[in-house]
Amino acid sequence: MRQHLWREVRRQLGETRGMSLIALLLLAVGGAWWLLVVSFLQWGRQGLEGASARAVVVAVVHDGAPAEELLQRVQQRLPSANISLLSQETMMEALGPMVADLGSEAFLPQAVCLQVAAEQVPQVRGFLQQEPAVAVVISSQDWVSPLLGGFALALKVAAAFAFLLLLAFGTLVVLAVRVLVLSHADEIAIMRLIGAHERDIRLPYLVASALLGLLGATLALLLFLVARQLLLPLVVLPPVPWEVLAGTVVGGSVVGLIGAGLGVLALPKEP
Amino acid sequence: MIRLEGVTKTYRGRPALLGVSASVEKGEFVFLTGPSGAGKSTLLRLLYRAEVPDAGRVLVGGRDLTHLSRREVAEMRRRMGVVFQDFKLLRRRTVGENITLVLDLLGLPEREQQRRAYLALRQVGLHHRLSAYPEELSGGEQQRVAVARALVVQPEVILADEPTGNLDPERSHELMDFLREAHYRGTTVVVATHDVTLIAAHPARTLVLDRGRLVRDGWGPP
Ligand SMILES: Nc1ncnc2c1ncn2[C@@H]1O[C@H](COP(=O)(O)OP(=O)(O)OP(=O)(O)O)[C@@H](O)[C@H]1O
Ligand SMILES: [Mg+2]
Repeated sequence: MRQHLWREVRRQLGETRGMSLIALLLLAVGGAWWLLVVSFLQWGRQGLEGASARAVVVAVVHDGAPAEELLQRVQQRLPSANISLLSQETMMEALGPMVADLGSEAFLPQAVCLQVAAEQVPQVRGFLQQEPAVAVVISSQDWVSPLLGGFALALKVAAAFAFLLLLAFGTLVVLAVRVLVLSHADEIAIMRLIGAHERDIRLPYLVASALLGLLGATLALLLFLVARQLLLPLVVLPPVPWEVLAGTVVGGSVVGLIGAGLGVLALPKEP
Repeated sequence: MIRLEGVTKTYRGRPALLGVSASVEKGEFVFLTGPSGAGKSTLLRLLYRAEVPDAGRVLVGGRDLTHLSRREVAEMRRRMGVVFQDFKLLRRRTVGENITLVLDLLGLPEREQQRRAYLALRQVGLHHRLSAYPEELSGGEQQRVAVARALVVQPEVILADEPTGNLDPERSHELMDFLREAHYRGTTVVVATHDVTLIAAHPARTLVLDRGRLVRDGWGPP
């Protein structure tokens, strides 16, 4: 069946040129977009995870409370931590350019700044909150965690969108194969009369669709690599895990195959 | 080889075959004749199991065709050579591909497919139209391709439905010679035709159908 199979596959792809092309583009663009999203998220998460390994905890001191004393007590309690006093001058310098009319520096509170490991944050926070001189405790963990959560959510949304595109591709394949099968009804009837097995009849449709999926997914990979190269001056995206790359290619082919399998169900039955 | 036992086939209440019983031995050459609408094509369709009888049994090679699985039906058809009244050539395939396809289904290697297809087409005088599409051929030429397709598999049984319907007398006799040759090699041949002069020129056992009934089983034209 080899020679006739390939000829039939080529013929079928030719006959559904328009639909095949749209399906191909859908898969290529969708796949490339999906890979880009994955690598952007990976890039963002790597950055955040670097930031989240070490946390910054800031304890704002009550107006007029003895900040130096607090600093010493914290240093005794956490000798390993990198601790500094944020003086009113430092704060002025930091906030001055951002806030136009900050007024007198006397309005600014003093603060103690600690750099600790992320897992120490709850303990340090608890200790600082018990200090009478401390008004508020702020930690960098407070925004890193929600951001990480946000990334996880964004990944889910991106995956859902990629899934929708994949579904659209699959639907298109189902429709194309249905149209093809119905327009070939007379030929299929003849094939059966000269002794073709159902497998001989169905295989070309399955092969053509799987091939379309494979081609689309490979195109997606190429498109993604080009986009990554173009983005190089702006951002160095980390390499996408090979499982994701392989999954994209296999996924495209499998969806093509399933689509054809569903499309071929429209095949007229023999009396 | 072929046995019909009280076969009845009706289409929407109208009988096309009524209680037909007959048998054809292995290696026999049999004409099937009768006026238009007598049920000749219907009988042949029962033999390649495009239809199943409403009553009675159809046996080919000792097997009741009604109870074959789809797979077994396909296997059986591969080993039959059928010339259809309306040719049933694949219009999206060339003449050559139409022939090689049936050899491909038998699992023959590609070179052998090409070789046999060429020889079969040369036999019917169409080897120069190998890469033409069926619609580019005349009715008679298409019919010869259909005959070549049936002969090329060297089948055990040939069922030919009006194989000379579109041929001039000379081509008709030439075609009968091909079928005769196959018969001499041991193939069972059933030819449905309403052309009595053809039967007269090639006398053989002749079954006559009339309005679905077998009215004669004898030698030569009715
Ligand atoms: N698919 C069908 N549906 C309904 N009636 C049919 C069908 N096929 C055949 N018939 C009827 O069955 C009867 C026998 O038809 P059949 O084709 O077997 O005749 P035939 O002897 O081959 O005639 P011809 O010489 O014209 O080819 C006819 O009356 C025909 O109208
Ligand atoms: Mg007929």
